[in-house]
Amino acid sequence: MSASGTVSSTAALEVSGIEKRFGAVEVLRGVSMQVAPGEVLGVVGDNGAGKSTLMKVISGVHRADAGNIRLAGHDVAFRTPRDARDAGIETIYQDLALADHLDVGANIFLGREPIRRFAGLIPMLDERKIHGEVAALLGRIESHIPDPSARALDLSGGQRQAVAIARALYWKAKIVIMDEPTAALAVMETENVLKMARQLAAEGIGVLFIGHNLVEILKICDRVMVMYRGRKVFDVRCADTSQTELIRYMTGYADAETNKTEGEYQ
Amino acid sequence: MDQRVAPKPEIETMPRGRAALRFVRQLAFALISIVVLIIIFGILNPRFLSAINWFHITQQVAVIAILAIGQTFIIATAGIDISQGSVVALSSMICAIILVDTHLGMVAAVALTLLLGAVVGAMVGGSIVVLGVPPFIATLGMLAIAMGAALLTTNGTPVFGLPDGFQAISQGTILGVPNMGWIAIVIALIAAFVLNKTRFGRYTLAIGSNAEAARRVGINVPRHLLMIYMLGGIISALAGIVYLSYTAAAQPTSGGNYELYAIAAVVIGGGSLFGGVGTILGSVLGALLMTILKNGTQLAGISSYVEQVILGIVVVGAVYVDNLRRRLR
Repeated sequence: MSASGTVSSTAALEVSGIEKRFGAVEVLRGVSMQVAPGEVLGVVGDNGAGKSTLMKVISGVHRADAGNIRLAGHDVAFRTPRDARDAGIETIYQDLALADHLDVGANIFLGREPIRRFAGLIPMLDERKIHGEVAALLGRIESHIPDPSARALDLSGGQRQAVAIARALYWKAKIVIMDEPTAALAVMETENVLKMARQLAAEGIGVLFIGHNLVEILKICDRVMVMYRGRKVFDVRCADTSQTELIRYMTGYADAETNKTEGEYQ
Repeated sequence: MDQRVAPKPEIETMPRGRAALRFVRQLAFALISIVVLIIIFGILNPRFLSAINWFHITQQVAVIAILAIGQTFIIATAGIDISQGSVVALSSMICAIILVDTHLGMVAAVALTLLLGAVVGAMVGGSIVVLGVPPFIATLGMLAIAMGAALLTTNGTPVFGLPDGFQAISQGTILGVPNMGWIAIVIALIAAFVLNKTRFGRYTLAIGSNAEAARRVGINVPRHLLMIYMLGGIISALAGIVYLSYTAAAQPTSGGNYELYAIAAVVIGGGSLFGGVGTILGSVLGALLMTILKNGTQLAGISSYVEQVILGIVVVGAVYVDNLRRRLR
């Protein structure tokens, strides 16, 4: 897999010292990480390792108790998912947040529809613009969506992913979070989605790819970080690691050893 | 990366074709049923087909169509409004009292009645959005509240003696069509524009389709629902005003079953109680079908009690067919 060579000096996203607790439960204990523009970063870890919470902090769903987030070199603080989205962080959800009865174009533009004035006065949807942009977009991502006027309901899982990805592309996201995007897909569709993740990166977007399938992760990511019990315990170029090594960190085996030597584990 | 047999993207030449086909299929059921009913009622009583009867049908369909339009927006959000009938009764009582007992005039009477509708809608919407009461229960409560309030206004007695000018709403005609028919047509055109061509309409369908997705893209779902129910209340009040003109007297117990006609109209017209779907043209055709059923059974000499039984069966049947449609696709 070709890693993109265009890793610029400013990280697309840089988070440092993120802490988050829910009541007595410390879910994130000081996580720092960064993604470069055009880089696909795999995020792996066992259930409950804090991956999802970290992503929710980044995408504005949760507010961190401590730590800060820098987007393209600027400090940001999101109060709502809308803030994060407006700033350029797009999340492609596992359950694919599409409105089933709306067509492809309506879904890509949902919440940000272009408006024109009917009779110079009454604001109405600019359907021509929507359809024009959608046709161009779908061509650009080779989405295999046969008909832009198809409802989301009529699409396959992979095609639904494509709609979400087109949305991220069109709105010029800086960061795209893909939360287990291949979890429910057939083999062929998985290939397509992995390809699209690379395509997003090729457009200069930093991609956070959360997954469980290490074969997939090692194949498409440039780098991978492992989370374990609310910490980042490993961060490595995919070319320099292996499934076995990742699993050692994911299961806490390697972590336990490191922490023992550092004397901070229990 | 390995390029195995990737499916070729088939670019469809007529991108709007599919949407148009969907629309036609949705309306076909209502249209065919209307034709069948016209033939049956025409045979049972030839007077059904007379010009004067169709004038009456146009008057009768107006109220049901206006209510069905309000119901379309609400059902499109996966909600329901079963308080429409008693809101019609309450608003026609209030409008009549203002017309008969005050010197505020017709324009003020209409404006104040519409305002009442907005307040009623805000109460329903508020209990749904703020208190988290499901739409069915919120409007069931409003059904009782509005009915009680309608009876309270005059202690249960009807209001007569409406000014002559007010009758023009129902009795006057333009190009042979009663004015109340034109009111319904204008409301339908505006509603179709709003539902299909504006952000408001798109958000309405999006919320009904997937409220969580709507929330995630930044749509203010509670505010939108509040507006939908206020709009629904205003439309019910408008139906009450038109109904008042048509009946020439305000009855606190009027408006019975109107919500059932409206709900049936929406579902027959292709709307789904699961939300996300619905067209104004479909709902208006559904309203026409329900009116023909009401009018035709009367002319065929079928008792109004039996007509009520039929109404109930039609509502349940229409929703059952809607379920089937969704399961079979």
